[in-house]
Amino acid sequence: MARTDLLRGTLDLLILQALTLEPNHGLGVARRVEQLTQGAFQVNPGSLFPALHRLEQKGWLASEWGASATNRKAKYYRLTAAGRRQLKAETANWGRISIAIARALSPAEG
Amino acid sequence: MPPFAATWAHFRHFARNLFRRDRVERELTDEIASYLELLIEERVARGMSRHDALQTARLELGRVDHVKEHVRDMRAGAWLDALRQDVRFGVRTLRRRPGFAAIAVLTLGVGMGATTAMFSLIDSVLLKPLPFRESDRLVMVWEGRPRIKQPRIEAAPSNYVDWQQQLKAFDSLAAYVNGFVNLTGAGAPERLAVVQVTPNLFPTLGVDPLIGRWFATPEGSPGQTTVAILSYGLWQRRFGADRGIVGKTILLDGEPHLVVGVMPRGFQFPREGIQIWTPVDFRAGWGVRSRNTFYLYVVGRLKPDVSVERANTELEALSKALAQAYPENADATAFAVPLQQDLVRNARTSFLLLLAAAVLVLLIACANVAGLLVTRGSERDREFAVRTALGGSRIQLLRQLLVEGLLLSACGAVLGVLLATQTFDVLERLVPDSLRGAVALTLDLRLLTVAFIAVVLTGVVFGLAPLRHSVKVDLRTPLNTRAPGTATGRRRIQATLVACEVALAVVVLSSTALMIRTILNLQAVDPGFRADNVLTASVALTATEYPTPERQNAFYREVLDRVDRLPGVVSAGFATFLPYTVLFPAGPVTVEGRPDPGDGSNAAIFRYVTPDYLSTLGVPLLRGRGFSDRDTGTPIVALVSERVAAFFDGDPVGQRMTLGSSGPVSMTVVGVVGDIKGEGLEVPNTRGTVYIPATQLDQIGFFSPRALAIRTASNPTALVSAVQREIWAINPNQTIDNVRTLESIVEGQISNRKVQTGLLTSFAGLALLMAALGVYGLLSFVVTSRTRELSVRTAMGAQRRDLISLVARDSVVWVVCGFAGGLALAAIVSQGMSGLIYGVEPLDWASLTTSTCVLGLAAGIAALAPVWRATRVDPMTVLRAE
Repeated sequence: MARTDLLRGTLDLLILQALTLEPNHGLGVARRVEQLTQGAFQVNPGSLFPALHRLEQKGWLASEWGASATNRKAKYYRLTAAGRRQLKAETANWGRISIAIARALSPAEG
Repeated sequence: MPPFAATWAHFRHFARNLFRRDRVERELTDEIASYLELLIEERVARGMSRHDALQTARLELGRVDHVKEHVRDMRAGAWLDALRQDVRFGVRTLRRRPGFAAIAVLTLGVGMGATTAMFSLIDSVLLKPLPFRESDRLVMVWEGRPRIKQPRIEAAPSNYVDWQQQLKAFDSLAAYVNGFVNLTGAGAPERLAVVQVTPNLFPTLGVDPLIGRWFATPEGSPGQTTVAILSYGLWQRRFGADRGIVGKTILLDGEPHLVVGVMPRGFQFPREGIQIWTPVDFRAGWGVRSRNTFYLYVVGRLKPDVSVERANTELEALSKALAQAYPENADATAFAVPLQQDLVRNARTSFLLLLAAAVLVLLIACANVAGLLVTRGSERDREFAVRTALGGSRIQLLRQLLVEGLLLSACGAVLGVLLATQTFDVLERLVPDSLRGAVALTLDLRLLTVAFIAVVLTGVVFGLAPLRHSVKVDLRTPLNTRAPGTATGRRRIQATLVACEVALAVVVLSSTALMIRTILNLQAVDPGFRADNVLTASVALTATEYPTPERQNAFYREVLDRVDRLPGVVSAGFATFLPYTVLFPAGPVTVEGRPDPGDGSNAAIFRYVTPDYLSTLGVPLLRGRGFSDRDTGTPIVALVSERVAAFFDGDPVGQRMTLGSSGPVSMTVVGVVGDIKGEGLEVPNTRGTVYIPATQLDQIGFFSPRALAIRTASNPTALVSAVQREIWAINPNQTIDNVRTLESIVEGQISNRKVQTGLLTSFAGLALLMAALGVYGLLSFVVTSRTRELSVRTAMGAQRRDLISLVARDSVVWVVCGFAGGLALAAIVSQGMSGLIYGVEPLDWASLTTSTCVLGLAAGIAALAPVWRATRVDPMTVLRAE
């Protein structure tokens, strides 16, 4: 369970990050996350869609239907002002946590 | 982000998920479809064939419904969906076992309904403050006169005056007497209940008039303008709610009275139905300056922070001083009782008894449902095991059970509310006269809530009990066989519950038996007269129309002549008061030439009667002669009842006696008649009666005959209009009221008890039924859970007798324990009922035995079916199924 929670928080952060530049549809978000993490994160639809809907429900994302580059109908998500603030706060937070974890896991020094 | 915006976003989605469900779902489908399309496009762009792209994209997407399920799970309001599913599933589960659901809902509903209704009654009558300002400071003050066997009697006017002047504990002390007046003038003549009050009564109660003013102090004294205050009802009905009525004059008993005020709606003092209040000043010589005539009701307002105990200490001290100062007061005591307690009197005990019975029924109901749930839990072992095996979490199972328990309780609550409100009509008949009309029964939501919580807790605790086993137990066990260990545990829980049910049922049943015996005893009491086929009415003459005893007697004679001639009339007569209606006048009887023993043993009630009154009531003449119209002038003659006859040496006929202590009247006894129990069916030692002929009435007053009694050959009520016609033919302005049969007056002595006993009997019936159901459930469960064992034993050659003893042995022990506990409890409870019962001891073996037998019989019958089933176990079928 703890694993999922950790991953879910991380995924939320990555999705927010993936949308900073421009609005995107679900597949676009997934590909952008993969790109950002250099393939370390493979986002499957089973976790992508719940995450997108959850973030939207929290008011961090907004969505509307639009057309893709190839003129397909797709649902586009964009970062709201609240989402931007959240991303900023979470980024700072993440920085602290990752340093702390890295320190905890590194072999004890002298 | 401001928290408000977050909440708003959440709420918007919540509402959308809830109300635009279809659209949300459609969008999700579209979104996933578009995702798939984009995925395919991406692959085709990378050079894959469209067919391959489709294949791989589908593979990557995974199961669409799974994705959707994940999304749904995190939607705002997802819990609501889950709840909806749980409820739907719960309803389906319950509908699969309609018998179980029906019994559980009925049981809970009846238990909750009974408790809520009874508590609503108690709350309205005993707990809600009276509608007077700071009503907890109001007390009634009574005298006690041990010499005339009156531990509680109205006050003598002179004593009231002394109290009023000397007591320090009271802010004010007001007095009143009840009476009737004839209202004439505009409209038909009407006889109205009036209360004559000291002018300070209304300030004492602390109620402002709706319009106009209170009485001012000199009003009511001789020489003052006569004034009156109207009740709201009379003002509405008779005077068309005309606000201009204040300042106008109305005719009461033919005398003009100035209306000075109208009391607000709902004001009733001292009881329902009072229509007019008039002032009286007892110090100014109204009535008698006496310490030996008791007719004043005294109500007082205690000073703030003065307790009833302190007031009583002061009253006691003052009574001692007055006893020293006045010989008539030698035995007099006085005491104060809080007004509310005084108004409800005996109602309190009976209400508490009924509430206790209702609570017991609720407890039995809870025990019953608990038993049902435990049994059902065992039937559902397999269901739970299957669900756990399929991935149902423990929380989900818990939630499911909780929802089922709540569903049952909610249905029970709805039923309970319906039942409670339906019984209000019956319950209103139990409200004491003094409060009837002033209190409205309302559903007591607080108690309904408490009952509901109790019921829900029962449902949850006992509904979850099975889960304790199911979830921990190795999944394979219930799937393969029945788990014998858990069945034993459950049998023990259920047996304990049944024992409790039986114990509580014994208590309710034996209390009911006591009340039923009381009613039978009261009905068997010989009142000393024959109540059947007698029509009665109150025909009170006014002093203005009939100013002399001669005029009055002429009226009686003419009425009786006319009534006697009516077909179907056997005889008719007038008397001062009918049995049970009024308990005075009374006074000491002394045989001439002997001193007054002074201990009250010689008190007797006296009545003015016309010659045929006693034969009309069926009171037997034992010696001497009855009255005739020739008994006029002096000497005054009297008929005495047997109790009074016992005061004399030998035959009282021809002997002389005196009646009364202040201005005693001398009279000659001409005959002896039977005693009547006229003070109340259950008053153990009623005083004897002295009858004096109406023709020897020396002054017109309160004790002039007014009660008309007519014995008829058949149904007395058929004569009502004929009698009215005859009386109105003599005087069209004569009021005739309180027309009823003598039987209904006697019935009034026990009607309250009948309603109480009726309620109690229905509670007892419910308790009996539920306890029997409990026994049935227990044995059924025993048989079901031991079917395998029974079949093995049968196969091994066990006899039917062995099987029965095997099944019933444990249960019988438990049930017997229940009986023992119940009997002990009943013995304790019955001690609190001593004020309610008549002719039986609280610890009544007959009641205890009867209730035990009835309950035992019911339990036996309930046990028959399951035990029979146990002996019918077919080993082949059972063992083959294993």
